[in-house]
Amino acid sequence: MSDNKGKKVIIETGEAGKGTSELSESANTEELEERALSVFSSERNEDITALVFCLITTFLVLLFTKWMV
Amino acid sequence: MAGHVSAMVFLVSQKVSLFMFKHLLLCTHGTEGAQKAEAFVFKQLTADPNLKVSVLTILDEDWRMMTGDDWLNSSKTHTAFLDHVEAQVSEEIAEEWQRIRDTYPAAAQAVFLQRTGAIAETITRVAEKLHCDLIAIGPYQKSKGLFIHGEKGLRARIKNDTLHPLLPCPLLIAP
Amino acid sequence: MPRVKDHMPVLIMGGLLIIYGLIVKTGILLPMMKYLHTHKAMDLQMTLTLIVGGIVIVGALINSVKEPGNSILDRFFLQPLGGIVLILVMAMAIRWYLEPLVKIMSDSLQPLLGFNVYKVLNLNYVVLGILAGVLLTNTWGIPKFAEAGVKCARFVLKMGVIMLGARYSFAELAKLGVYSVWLVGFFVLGTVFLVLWLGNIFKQPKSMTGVLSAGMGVCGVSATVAVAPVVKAKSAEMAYTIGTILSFGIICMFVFPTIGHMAGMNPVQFGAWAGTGILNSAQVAAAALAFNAVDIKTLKVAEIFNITRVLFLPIIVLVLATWFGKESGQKLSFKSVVIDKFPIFILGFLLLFGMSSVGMFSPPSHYKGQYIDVSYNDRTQVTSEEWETLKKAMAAGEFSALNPEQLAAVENLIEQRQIAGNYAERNDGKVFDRVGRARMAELEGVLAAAKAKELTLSSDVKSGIKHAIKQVHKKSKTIVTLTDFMIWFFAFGLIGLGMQITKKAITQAGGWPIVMGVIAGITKAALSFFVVLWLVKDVVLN
Repeated sequence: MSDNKGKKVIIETGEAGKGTSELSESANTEELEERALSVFSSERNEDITALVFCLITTFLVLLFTKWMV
Repeated sequence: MAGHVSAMVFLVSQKVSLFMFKHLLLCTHGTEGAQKAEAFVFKQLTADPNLKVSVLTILDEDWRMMTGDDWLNSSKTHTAFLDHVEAQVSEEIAEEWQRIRDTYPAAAQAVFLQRTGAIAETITRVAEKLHCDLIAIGPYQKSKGLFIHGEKGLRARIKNDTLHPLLPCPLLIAP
Repeated sequence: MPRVKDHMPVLIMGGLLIIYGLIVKTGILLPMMKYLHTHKAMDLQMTLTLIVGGIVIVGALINSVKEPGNSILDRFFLQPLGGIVLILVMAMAIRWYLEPLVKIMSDSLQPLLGFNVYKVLNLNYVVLGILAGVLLTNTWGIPKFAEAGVKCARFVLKMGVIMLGARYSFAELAKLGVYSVWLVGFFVLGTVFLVLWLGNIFKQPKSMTGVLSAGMGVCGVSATVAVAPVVKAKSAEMAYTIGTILSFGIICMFVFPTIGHMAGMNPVQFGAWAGTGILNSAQVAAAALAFNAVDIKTLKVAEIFNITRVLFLPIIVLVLATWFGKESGQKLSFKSVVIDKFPIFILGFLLLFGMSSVGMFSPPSHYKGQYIDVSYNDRTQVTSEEWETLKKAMAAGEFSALNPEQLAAVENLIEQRQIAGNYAERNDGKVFDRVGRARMAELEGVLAAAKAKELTLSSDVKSGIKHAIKQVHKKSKTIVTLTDFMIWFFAFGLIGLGMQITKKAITQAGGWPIVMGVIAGITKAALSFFVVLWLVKDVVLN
């Protein structure tokens, strides 16, 4: 929420707006910035981490229920 | 009764806008209620040449929650969706602004602002930042429920109990 | 400790967990646990609460002293810690206390109400968990300390799906895959075209029918989110569509299992129906677990349908993009839609499936972690009451309608008090095993015939035979533990996803989307119900 910048930019509002409007530069970009649903930087990372966690869990389960008994 | 109240507010506004208020923040997102506020501000209050008007339209941050319990899409798809929402809503907002400018000649002097965030918090934050001394909103409108011709955007209502404690300046509710 | 105040709730939760664990350790709670029927999980409760509580306190203390950073430790452990422990505490409370209480209460309310609340609404821990999540978001809101952690829900749900891969066999996967590709393919395309057609009739804009058709056809909100940018949907169209789909999905989550029970669907049929008819994929998993939370047959079926739908999604995006393309001019290549968006966790699912197929989790003689042990063993005997019941039923001629093989199997069960081969052949393992298994198969046939109402048996007799069969089914400890982990992952993920459903999003339902959505949704649910009942036969799941 960095409204303190207060910098103004002119944006094209397309055919609908038929012109330009004044907008604060930080108006709508940063606030929706925090977007990713999870703590991961990318989808690939999330899936691979999930897989690695699963393999670790599986390994531990195998270790304690199969290989050590 | 309504006419009476409106006349009273008119009197008050005439009086106070001449002596007290310099910068008014009009909050609208083009709904029926908000249009009443637009009409009130641009027809009646702008008679005072010293009154500066800023029009604020908020992109509700709750759009982020509209993805609900979706867990299949990649964050890329989510970002694409939110980008689209942002672009789309901005375009719709620009259309609203154009409508205001077309309807009220007095609106030509106004500054138009778009912000993203929670409604009440954003209104008060912007009012503080711009040093507004009056905030104008439309009256509470009953939700149209499941009617086929729905309203625009999210069915959000300004909640008095969230907005009032945050107010940095008087709040004017157009009838 | 500068930020100890911010992390107070987490510290308190950790402390409470440890105190609870210690109380459980003293055994004071045993009578109450027996009343709640949770005493079997006592060891688990103690270990889990002590370990989690310890980790939480350490983490919260580090958080209180350390400046927040952006290292891996921060991002993956310290920041999400609060939310993770919140969901875990909710899951534990629901699993160990709320669900048993609801069960006991609805049992005692049954004479008063005339029906069993627990059974009709399927209020098992999965449903209760989602409800608790939804309630929390919409009343107090997600607490600030838990925000980062709640975002892990979808990650954990993915882990659940990956782990589920270990539970399939080639035959099951092939059979279920065929069912799901046909059903999903037919109904996805059917619904998409139905909505597009409805939109045409009601003269609605293409952008709206575009999002709605994807949402109703493929996988609910996920599809809407994926398609909205492609068809350039207006804000109101998106809002109403998403609201409609979310509300419809939540209603389905409660209605489907109840109808499924009433119609006497078997797990495969229900899984197939839920997988086809319910819109949101998280709700498919929830409904499957709501139908049957104890064994995971239904979940296994439903999840295959889910995965099929995920694979169909990019195709639909491409189709709609082409359909809309003339106007939008947005170019979508096969690569950008299908390859870039291919969900890698499905490869993980296949990897675990492969590992299990080569017999990593159980010796080759075990079939999917379950094996049949028909050797002589005191522990595989039926109880003495059951034995008596069977003897009396035999004397009363209750088994007269059985065919000779079935009758022989029952006679042998009464004679040996357990399912086993012939005593004389006990040294020839293969023959002994074969005879025992054949007897078990005959007894299963008896139960199936009784279920199909081809013959009538008293419920005591049926439960006696059922117990005898159950006694010779052994489960590998590895598979049991893996399944437990998986169930916890699913519970965690679904509670967390429940927290993402806001009242605002649900009440957004309305406009034309609700009219067309309800028509299409109900048509799809009803049609798939009959198609499933008609086509899907019970696949023998193990």
